Amino acid sequence: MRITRGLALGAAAAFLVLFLVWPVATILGRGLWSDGRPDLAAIGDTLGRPGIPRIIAFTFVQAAVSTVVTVALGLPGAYVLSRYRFRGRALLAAALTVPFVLPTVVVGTAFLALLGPGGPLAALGLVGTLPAILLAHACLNYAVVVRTVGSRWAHLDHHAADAARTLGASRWRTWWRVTLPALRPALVASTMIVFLFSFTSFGVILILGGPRTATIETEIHRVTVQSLDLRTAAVLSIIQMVAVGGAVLAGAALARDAGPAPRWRPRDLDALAVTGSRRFVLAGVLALTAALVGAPLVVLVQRSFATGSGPGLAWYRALGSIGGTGLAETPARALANSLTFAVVATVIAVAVGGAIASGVVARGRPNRTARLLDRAAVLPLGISAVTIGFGYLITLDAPPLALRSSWWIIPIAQALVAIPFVVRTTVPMLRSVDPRLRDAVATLGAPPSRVWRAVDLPALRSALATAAAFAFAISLGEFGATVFIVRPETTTLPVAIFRMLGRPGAANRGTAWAAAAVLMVVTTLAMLAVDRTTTRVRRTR
Amino acid sequence: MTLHLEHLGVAYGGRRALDAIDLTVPTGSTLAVLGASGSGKSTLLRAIAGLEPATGRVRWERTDLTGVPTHRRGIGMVFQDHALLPHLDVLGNVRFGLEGRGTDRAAATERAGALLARVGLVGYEHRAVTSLSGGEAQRVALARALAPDPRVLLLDEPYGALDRERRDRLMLDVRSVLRAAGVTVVHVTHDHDEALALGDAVAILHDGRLEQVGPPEAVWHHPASARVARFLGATNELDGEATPDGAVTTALGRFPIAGVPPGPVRVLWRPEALRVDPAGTLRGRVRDSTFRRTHHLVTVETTAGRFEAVAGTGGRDGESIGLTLDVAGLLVFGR
Repeated sequence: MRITRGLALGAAAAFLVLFLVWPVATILGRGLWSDGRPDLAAIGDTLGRPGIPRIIAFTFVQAAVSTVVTVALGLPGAYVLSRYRFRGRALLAAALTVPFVLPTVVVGTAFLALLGPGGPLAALGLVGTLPAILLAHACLNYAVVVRTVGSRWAHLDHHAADAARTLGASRWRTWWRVTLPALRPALVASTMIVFLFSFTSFGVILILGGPRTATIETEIHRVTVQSLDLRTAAVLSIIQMVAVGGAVLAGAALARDAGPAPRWRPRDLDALAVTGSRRFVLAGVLALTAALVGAPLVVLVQRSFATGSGPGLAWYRALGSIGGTGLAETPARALANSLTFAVVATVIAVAVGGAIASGVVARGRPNRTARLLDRAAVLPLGISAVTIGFGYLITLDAPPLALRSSWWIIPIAQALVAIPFVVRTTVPMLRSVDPRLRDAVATLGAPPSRVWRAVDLPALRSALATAAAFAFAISLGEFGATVFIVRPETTTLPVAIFRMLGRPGAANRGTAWAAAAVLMVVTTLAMLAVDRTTTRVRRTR
Repeated sequence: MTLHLEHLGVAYGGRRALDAIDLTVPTGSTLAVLGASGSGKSTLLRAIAGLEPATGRVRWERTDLTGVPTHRRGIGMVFQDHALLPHLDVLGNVRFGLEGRGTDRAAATERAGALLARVGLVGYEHRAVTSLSGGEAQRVALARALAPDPRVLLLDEPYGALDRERRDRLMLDVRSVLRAAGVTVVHVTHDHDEALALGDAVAILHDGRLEQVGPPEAVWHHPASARVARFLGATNELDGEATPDGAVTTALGRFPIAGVPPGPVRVLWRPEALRVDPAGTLRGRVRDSTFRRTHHLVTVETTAGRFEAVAGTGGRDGESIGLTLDVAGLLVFGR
């Protein structure tokens, strides 16, 4: 068992070195070295360029404002979902989670359908401005706040708040002094995640933004694709890594002094009946969810059926032909590519992420290697998909690993983006296995192999099924890394949608609506399928 | 057939959690191990089960179990928090220990059913273990541990999480199940009522060391040390002096107690030995009084200090009363 685990960990480490450390090192080399010597001139050059300081500042500002808006909108949802007892609660939870698993390109496209030319809110003129981006970010990350904060809220010991009231504290003081501190770890965690996602946001900004909303990510893409200025792109990637690394460290420091966890209680122990003024709170949250999550997706679907001559399937039929899209393959073919790559990427991500996770939680004290791997696997979260894509572009282009011409490079990049999520969902589920269960099973006469099968395998199985669902959704919608490395014949559907939106003509727009709607349905179905299997597995076992 | 523990020891880092324990448990009997939390009770059970690397030896009659891995020792265990497998139902849990040994499924199911009936859980076969109450889960854990027919059964604070009434009922049920099974039992608890009621022998553990072992009555009436006496409810104590003529002098008076080597002593007694008695020669004032079902527990202030005494009726605060000290109830230890 130990040898197998060692081999798996070794393979996982080799994978990370080859496909994460090496490309990142290459970027660092491009940006900080010249003629074999350290050279910081490139950094100075880049920072001195007109527009660059503004782009860096704007990246921070939009991420900060997005985070504040998302957290502010998410808290009422977290409260209602965790504390109220009402019919349809599970449905509401599922509905507001949909955008989180949807590709960013789909959400960006949906907001374009809502706010852009021909859309119901076109008159607001928001496309190309910060508010459009904020709305899309809030929609994407709404579930992060609601779910993270909500699950802690649901399990809080509400007697502490009751005790505060009996000690004479007002509702407001109780919230401020008792409830908020207890929620703090979840608030800090979700704030950090939303900030990171917004800071490294790419697809949404590319689709909804304009010249004045350029961020570090979009600028890396622009200088790479348009001006082939790899040195500037490398420097921007380095700035991006430093900034994100700083944000992660700051978040970790904040999380560290979050204080002891409150006493855990099963949820629903004192859920509130929805009466009186709580009706208005619930109605408000439902309306907000409908506006933020429902409206863009509904408008996207509606416009995908709206042809010039009334409702019809014209745009869906157009998915089967190249037409004026400028693509080398049909959108349908791109969907097939996406599905194939996502399956391969899921297998890789689950294998590598699973090996890392079981190494991290290996019996006994967590050792240094395991902890290091745990950190390394989460790095891509901060390194951003765009950096990975750019790194592959300049690393895997030449021998010894000239993978650029092979389709393998795409699922590998997608897997790398998915691995942190696999590790993050698997580790807690594996940790939740009570070690005394292993002892109990051994006293019943089970040899170590049967102990593993009876105690660890069931936990691992459902953990990996959940992780696989996430990995599949992420890979299917992956855009930031993929856009750098696809070739015309290996175009994926998110890249195809982006390209069609960039070309003039109602036909291209319509086909993009249809393609985004299809991608939305496929992603949702995939998540539902895996969710069904895992719940069934859990129930029958 | 007897379970022998010889110089059994466990060390965590530099600390001795269990120090050279020697004990024997005859077949079919129950040894109750009594100790405060942190005394090494659970460690003792884990060492017997082979779950903790230990020094010394564990023998079953002539078979040395010391190097035998847990799953081949034939020693079952009921865990404090039950440790039921959450993904299996009640039947699956009870059947678990039979399946690994080649027992065919039908026979295993039948035996599991019989055991569930014996612990009073007929019809629970397909319940999810997460839906059980504490007492029910405890019964399932017991049936599960008995299913593979272990030679020794270890019980780790089995009633710790239950309320008093349920605990008393389950205690009697379990004892009859264990007697019927004829299994040898090591039962660990911090509750002396439980230990004295259930043990054929009681062992007292303190700080990883064995303080005393013997029949319940002997341990109760003749604690081996002041520490054991305190642990078994002797809440009153006083310094004294043993004299060569067979008496002990204290601030409360002179008491004839034979067989104490002359010299400074510590005298301890339980509240029952100090009775509130109008004819008593000792005097004191009531400081506190609590009703305890069969008597009142009274805190009295005397010239020699504060003591706990029993009374037939409660006293008023500050009331002056007489007291009688029962010489037979005095526990005397050399200082």
